[in-house]
Amino acid sequence: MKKHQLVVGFLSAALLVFGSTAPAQAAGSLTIWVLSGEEAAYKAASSAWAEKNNVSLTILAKCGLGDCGLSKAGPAGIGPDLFTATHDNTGAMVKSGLLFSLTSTVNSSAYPKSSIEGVTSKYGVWGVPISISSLALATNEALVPTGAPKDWAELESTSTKLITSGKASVGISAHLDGYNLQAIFESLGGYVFSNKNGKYTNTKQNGLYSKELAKNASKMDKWLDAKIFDKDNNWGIAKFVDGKAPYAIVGPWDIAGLDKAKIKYEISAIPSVKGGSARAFSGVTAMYMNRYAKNRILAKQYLTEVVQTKEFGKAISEANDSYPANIAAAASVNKASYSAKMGAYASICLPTPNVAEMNSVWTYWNGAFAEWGTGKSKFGEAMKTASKNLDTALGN
Amino acid sequence: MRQSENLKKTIQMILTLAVSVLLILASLRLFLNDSIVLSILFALSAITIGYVYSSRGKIHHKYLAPGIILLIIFHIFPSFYSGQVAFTNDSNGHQLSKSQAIKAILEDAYIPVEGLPPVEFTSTRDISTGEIFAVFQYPQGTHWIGNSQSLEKIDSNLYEQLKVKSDTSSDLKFEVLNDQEISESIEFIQAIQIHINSKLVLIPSDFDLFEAYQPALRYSEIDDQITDQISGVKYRPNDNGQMVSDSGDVLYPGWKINVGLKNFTSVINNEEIRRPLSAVLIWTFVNAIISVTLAFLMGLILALIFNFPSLRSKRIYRTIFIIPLAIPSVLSILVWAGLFQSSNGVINRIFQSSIPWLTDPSWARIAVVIVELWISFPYMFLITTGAIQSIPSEILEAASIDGASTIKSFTQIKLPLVIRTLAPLLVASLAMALNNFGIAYLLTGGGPVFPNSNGNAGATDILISYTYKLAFNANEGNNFGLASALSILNFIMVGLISIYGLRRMKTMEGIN
Repeated sequence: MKKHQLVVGFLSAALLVFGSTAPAQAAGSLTIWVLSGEEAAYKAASSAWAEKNNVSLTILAKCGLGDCGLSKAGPAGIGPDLFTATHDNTGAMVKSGLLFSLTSTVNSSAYPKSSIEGVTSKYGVWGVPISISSLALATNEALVPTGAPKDWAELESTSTKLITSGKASVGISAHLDGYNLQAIFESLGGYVFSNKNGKYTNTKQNGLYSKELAKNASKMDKWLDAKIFDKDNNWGIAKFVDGKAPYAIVGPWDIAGLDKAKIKYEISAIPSVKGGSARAFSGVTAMYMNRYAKNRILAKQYLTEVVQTKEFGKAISEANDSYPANIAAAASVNKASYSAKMGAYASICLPTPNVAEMNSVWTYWNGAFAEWGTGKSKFGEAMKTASKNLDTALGN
Repeated sequence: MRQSENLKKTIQMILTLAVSVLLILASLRLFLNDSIVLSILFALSAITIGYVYSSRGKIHHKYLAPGIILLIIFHIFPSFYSGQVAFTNDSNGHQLSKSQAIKAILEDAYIPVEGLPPVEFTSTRDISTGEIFAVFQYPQGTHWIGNSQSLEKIDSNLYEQLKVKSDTSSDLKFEVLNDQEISESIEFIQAIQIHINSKLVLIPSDFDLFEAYQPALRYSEIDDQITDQISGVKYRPNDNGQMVSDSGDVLYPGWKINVGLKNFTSVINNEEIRRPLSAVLIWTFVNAIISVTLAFLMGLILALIFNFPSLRSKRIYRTIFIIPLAIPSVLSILVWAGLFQSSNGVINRIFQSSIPWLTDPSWARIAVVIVELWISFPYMFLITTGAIQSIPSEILEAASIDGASTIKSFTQIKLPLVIRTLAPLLVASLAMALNNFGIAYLLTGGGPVFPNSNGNAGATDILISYTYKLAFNANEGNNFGLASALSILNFIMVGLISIYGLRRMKTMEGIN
């Protein structure tokens, strides 16, 4: 009996002592979730501000692809104040009511128009752009001493010559999907949704099988048969690295591997079939505010005084080997570097559509590329079916 | 002896108290996070642990209590939670409660008022209730005290007294918050929305500044409708948790609602769901049956070879065969994923082939079966060896004396006895193979994706990996409702197979 009393007494005391300590966020504190592997860079670039303003800053690597798990954490009140994500999630997050508008916080003139468009959804601006990236064309200078092709015709003829002579097995090393081949797809007249002044306003009509694409679709079949595209359809650019492909479609994530492989290569814009540069999809990594942030005012202050500065953009891009979205920070990047070349190309590219309907687009669009790549269907037929199925899925 | 007994009791007491206190603290935290059901579960667990371990006797309860508590918290509660989600439309665009969604819709439609300078305010607290209020002047000469719930005019004298932060005169009903108190109350201050009139709302943009906005939308609680104050269009709730106008325009976000059996019936009625799901379901069963059968046969053959008395170096062989079991399966799968690469993989290089192992549906399925076989055959080998060795030698000798051939002895004596012994393990293996998420996820990601499958279902997706994609891959729409419904169907499927298997086993025992 005594023992019971002791237990009850101790528990009561514990409740009094520990129960009174509310686990609410400490005053003057901010919690930020960033992409995995980037937390050190964010901490380093923010620590001086945090110290000066006596802010307890917690930066955690909790984000990967997608919405950072905010769909559950946000409304439940256990999400961060701020978090980073790629801009193509913007539409879906806005649709779910997870974001707090940053229209009055973002200094739009400090960023390229395309970056701001990437984080803009129907009611306003929802994120602060941090870095931009896009795919680009890499040319293996050991196979092509003249360097990057001037136009698509040169790319095609060089590839054919090298394949015929047995020096290369394919022309372009790239995964055959919508994201990787968007530049070529668009230059043949295809598009996902019509884009007016950088905004995707009409998702009722898709252009996966536009009139122009229908006319040009057979070219894709011809190039696949001629091995300009790699039927193996692998992720990665092994054939390019092994010297079996003169060209590859690469992203910033490939640069370290290319450098490690010690091959000589050149980065350039993907040439358009019509002439000039084609537009690949560009991506913007941006910082967003959780609608249920515990300290919105301090978070806004952080976005204004830290995230939107040139110094922050420069520090993050240097640490993460990315290209800053901030125009002033971008101006300070070494123009000869690969990231600068990619960044310069990204600024003329098309932001990946950020509308929520993209969830369905990827399914049907990539599916059509897979059908074509595996030889099960002609390019035009595959896109026609994809376009029809997409319309059905979107209720158009 | 008595001393050691006392020490044992003291340690037991300390551990009991420590666990109970930890559970109480967890319960409090959950309560503050509005997880009421979990909070109650943790509190009950603390009481149970405290009672059971501080009582004399109750030995069996002391053994059972931790297991039962963990079972309730980690299995039964999540199962019920999943069950509840399965009857909702929880997905992208429907993740908030109705009040949260309406608030979000209205907030998203606030239009900044151009040309109106920020309005200064002072944060105060009602001394008697603790409620936070803002004291401000708008327009010049008109003074207010208010928050989201109430707003009243005050005279300029009171305003002057309140806006001075250092004034804490005791005859006032309100006290001005200092910087520390403002920081501590920031969640309340940032939530203040002062509706001056239907066309002007003030919202804090800083610790002491309001920004002015024009609400484009207005919500009427009585009519449960939102009105666009500019166009006059009215939006009313539909049966899918959305505000919709007569012309079909939808305001986002929507909210979570109960949809009854819709997620379950959509598996049959909705072509977009049924098409990929049928393919996934067929592969789930085919894959499980093939992989368990092949692993069993391979294990059996190896065990039979091992049973030859003339075989030498058994230890070395056994060690080699057990290696796949000893290596963490995650590691094995990732290594296999590398081996199967079509352009650079070791397998294609060795055979000078260019098989699209992971990118062609048929080859990807073969690759999955090979990896499953690699991971599971050592287990089958071990248990089959045990089963064969447990067959009494007298039976085999008697059969031999009666003139039974080796094949007859195997098919009519060894195999039936082995299967009878291993039946429960084979049923368990089949149940596990039906849920073998790791291989589908790590080796192929469920791909290659079917060209026209909503939800990105792929040729090697099994039901559980497809469910994962629907629920946790933002690209698939975070369709938690449908994913939960599929989880329940998966549970029923595996449960029925297990029950059937166990019943068959009992029948076999009866025959024996």
